[in-house]
Amino acid sequence: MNTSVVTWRIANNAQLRLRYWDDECVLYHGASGDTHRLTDLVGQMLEQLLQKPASIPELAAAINLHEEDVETALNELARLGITQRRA
Amino acid sequence: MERLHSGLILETGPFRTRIVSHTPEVLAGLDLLYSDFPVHDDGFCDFHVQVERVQGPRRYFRPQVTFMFDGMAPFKPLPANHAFALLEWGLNWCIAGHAHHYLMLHAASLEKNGRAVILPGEPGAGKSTLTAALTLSGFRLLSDELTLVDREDRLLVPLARPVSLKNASIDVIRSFSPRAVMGAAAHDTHKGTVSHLKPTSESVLRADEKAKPALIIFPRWKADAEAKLTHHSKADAFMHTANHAFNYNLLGSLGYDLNASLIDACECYDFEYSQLSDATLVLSELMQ
Amino acid sequence: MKLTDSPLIIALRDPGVILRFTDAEWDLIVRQGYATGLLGRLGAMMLKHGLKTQIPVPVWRHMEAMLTIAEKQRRAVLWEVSQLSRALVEVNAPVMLLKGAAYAAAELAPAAGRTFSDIDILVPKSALPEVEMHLMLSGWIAARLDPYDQRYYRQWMHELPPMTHIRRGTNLDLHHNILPETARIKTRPDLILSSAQHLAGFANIFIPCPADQVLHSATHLYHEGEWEHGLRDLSDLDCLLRAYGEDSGFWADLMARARELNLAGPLSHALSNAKAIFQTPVPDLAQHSALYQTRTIQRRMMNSLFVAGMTSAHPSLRHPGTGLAQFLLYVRSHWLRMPMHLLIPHLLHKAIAKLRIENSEIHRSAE
Repeated sequence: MNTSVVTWRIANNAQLRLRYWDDECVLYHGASGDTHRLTDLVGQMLEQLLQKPASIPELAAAINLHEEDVETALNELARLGITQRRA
Repeated sequence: MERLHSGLILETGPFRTRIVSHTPEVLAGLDLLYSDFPVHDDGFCDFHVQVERVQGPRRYFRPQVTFMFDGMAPFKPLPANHAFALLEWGLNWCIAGHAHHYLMLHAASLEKNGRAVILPGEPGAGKSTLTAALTLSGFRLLSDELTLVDREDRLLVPLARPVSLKNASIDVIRSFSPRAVMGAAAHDTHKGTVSHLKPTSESVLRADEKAKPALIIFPRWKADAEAKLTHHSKADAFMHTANHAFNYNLLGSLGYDLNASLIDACECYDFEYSQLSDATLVLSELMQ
Repeated sequence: MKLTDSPLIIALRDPGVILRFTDAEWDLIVRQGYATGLLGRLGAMMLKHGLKTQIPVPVWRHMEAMLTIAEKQRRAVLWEVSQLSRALVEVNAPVMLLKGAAYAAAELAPAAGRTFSDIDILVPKSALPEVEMHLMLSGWIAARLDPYDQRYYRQWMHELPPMTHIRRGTNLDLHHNILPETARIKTRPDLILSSAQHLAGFANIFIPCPADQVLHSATHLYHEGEWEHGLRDLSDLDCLLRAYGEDSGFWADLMARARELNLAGPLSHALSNAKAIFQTPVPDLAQHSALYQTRTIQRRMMNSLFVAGMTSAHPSLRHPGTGLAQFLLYVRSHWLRMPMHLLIPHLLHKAIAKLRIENSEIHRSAE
């Protein structure tokens, strides 16, 4: 897949809340009522997306993570209904 | 006694419970362990409960008691000599099932010098024994099982009810403090032998004073270990308290916010110990 | 006490009266409120009428607890509906939410402060196999039942055995009609589906139109056996009627629709009881219209039976005859659902199954 073309965003009405302690982030996903424990970098990635949709390379550059790790995180979060690929 | 037959209204922290019982074990337990608690004749009650012998042909052979919540029985009956333990479990059930005004953690909590310590419950970690020892060593008991967090001011709300002890803990606490007042033991319950420690008068008299959370401590009894505190990850502490709370999910985003402010406010530690006297000393120092 | 003397019912009818309530009355309200499932609704009304500060703090804590649960369930049903919508996107048939789930998802009049346990959905009978398959693929699994109960549901009833989601643990009741196959009264689920309204934000999820919401509520109340929720269901109906009744055309539509769906009987009972207990404003047109041709004495007896059955929720509301009334109504609701030759074996099977469970419990606790 041509990762530079695909844009990612936060799913509609996700109602996210994030708190950080040490090098971790605890995320509340209001729409589902689920709570997730993430690394602080993934938390920051979500905050980037909350500001505006972005592609994997853009996110990797902004938060200083490898593109593969960004893609893995995005896919996992998509499975949970938190992120989605922009149509 | 007549009061208990027609309905005794017991005040424990923010709750008033009307208790009706004709069983001698309940009467004895209330007399011994709840003597410092305020009792009322009438007024609004949060819960209406009854602990009574089950009628029917079994009542002579293997008598049983049942706990009723406003005429409805949420549990199966238990042997009659477990009646007081059944009342205690029933009272916990009332709170855990209804008091969603609060965030309810499965943890013990105590206060000293204006700071409250929360001890999340890991089965077999010795939390109850440590809680009992602390309350006999100058800590004010807030709760041994259900820690309530007020949704408005985020302070801990005391219940100050008797501390439930199991099996070996019972003798350990008797040795630790020979003057400790304990109720009659119930043998062969699903948790083994169970007895209850009377809360200190000070704890009960100050049950209307909320406490500021300052510490979350995960206790672990380990043979021959010197009392030692090590840092516990805050994110991990959050997930632990959330997963073990009675109503974290039910409260939705409020649960998340309340739990987060708790983690923000508290230093989080693992605590390894073997001697109770050692443990109480180290924790007392921490509360300065 | 009489239903109409219950402080809970009085407060629901006329919120301002709470200003005069004593501790004893508040005590009864909370107990009856929990037992009937109406405490949250009362709490919502208190907020709506700006009366929260007039309520004693310990009492308000209980109401707030129920409002918290209701709000959580509202969010949960919206999430569940979004998952359902995705799971069933390939199915070429409407999926309609019913009752509590519909009220919560669409924020209808009865939603405020109301709690519920299952999600009820209605689909066309022809779409059942396809819907069931897509649900299972998305993680909903059918309850394990013995072959007798399986047949009870699939052949005779209007719903499939309940399904539970494997990860979320949510319960789903899948209906193809609002009355069972074997019921004496036949209605038209196809018409209910064809008049359905979209649930905002979802292309394939629907709710019944207002008249059908009322008719389903009435039908469910008078044909099911769930009498502990009787008062709550009647109160739902009261909420719906007050919300829609303002519209001048509504009552005529409702009467016509009741005839069209052959549900004039349950509606007639519903209007009568709602008016008696909740003082629902029911216009004369509805009251005197020859909806349901029965002799007055028979109707009065049936009414008393329903009211008595509804009071089974809380000890303070019971009176001599409640137990028998409950049993008679339970049998009646089964009678309405199944012909006699099926009814007796079914009740026998249930009785035997219950005995088996009780026996095994006695054996276990004796160990």
